[in-house]
Amino acid sequence: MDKNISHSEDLTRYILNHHYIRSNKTVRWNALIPNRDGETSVYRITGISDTEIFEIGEMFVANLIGKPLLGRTDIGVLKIFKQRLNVRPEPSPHPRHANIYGWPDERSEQRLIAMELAAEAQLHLVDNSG
Amino acid sequence: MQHQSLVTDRKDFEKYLFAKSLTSVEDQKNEYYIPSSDYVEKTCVFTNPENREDTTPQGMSFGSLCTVILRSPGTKKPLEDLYLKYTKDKKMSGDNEINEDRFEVQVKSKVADRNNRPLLDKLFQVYQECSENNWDGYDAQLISKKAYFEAEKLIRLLPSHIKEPEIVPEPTGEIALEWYQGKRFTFVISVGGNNLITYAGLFGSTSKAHGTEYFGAEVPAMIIEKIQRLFERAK
Repeated sequence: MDKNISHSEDLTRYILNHHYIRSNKTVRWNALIPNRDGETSVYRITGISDTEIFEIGEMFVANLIGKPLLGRTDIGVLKIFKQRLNVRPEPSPHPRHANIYGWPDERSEQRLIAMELAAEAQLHLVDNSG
Repeated sequence: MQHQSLVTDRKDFEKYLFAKSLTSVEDQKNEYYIPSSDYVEKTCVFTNPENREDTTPQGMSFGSLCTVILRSPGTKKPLEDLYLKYTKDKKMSGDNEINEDRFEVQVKSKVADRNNRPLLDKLFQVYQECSENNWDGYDAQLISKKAYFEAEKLIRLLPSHIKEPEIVPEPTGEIALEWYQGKRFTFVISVGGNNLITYAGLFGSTSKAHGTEYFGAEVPAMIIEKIQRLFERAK
């Protein structure tokens, strides 16, 4: 993977908890809130198929953590930059792994930014029908 | 349970009870109508630990606990619990000490609690589901008891006319109440057990707000205004 993340790339955040998905099948802002280290773990998904994206989620996120994969939410890098956040590659546990960083310290502001991002993000649920 | 103060002394109380808002409909049973939609479906209890003078409202027996049921004019259902809090305010008049009674009437939403029962049940469910670290797979902090109890207090204090929110756990260990009216019409308030409410809201494509307010005995008025603003903007 390119060490530089381009404006035109797309990222995804895998979702393992039902509280991050509304009943109307939209993603909640709390799915994007940074962890204790001030980072939001994402994967770079430009150039790979929908099936491959979910396979990465199953193998390198859900299986590692030990929780079922419920879905993923996709968002463009440009939208991350628009919120004055940054993305850097962290190629472990997978070459496509990256972290969103640069979140403000204030909780309410973090929440507002996460709401802005969630409003732009596309939710894709795992198909359990077959 | 937190109380909302209505009146602060006996004169105000009597004025409130007889001249302004309340009309006695069944004096012997201490039942009154209260023509205010703010207090619909609430039961009122007046307490006074000491004897009263002859200005005691008709139908109320002071000297011990006295229960007065206020009913809404429309539904005839009992209104909110109303506590008549007694304090003695000593004043000197010449050589004699005069005991002057002062009262504080406060509201507590006993029936509103019952109305909030499903929401409180949801809160407990969220608390149980998120009471261990890493509940989301991304190292989320557990929801603490302090956060749970503060969220419960917040729910109980929400005015009854506010639309029911969703209960949302946060990876920071806080509990949020979310009002969602569309992708760019969302308002969220969060508590974490530290007497603070943090809020964030999108009120359309250009209007947004975030901040922190002290959370004491009541929900800050500006929070209520913002919830109302969300619904007005989303129309």
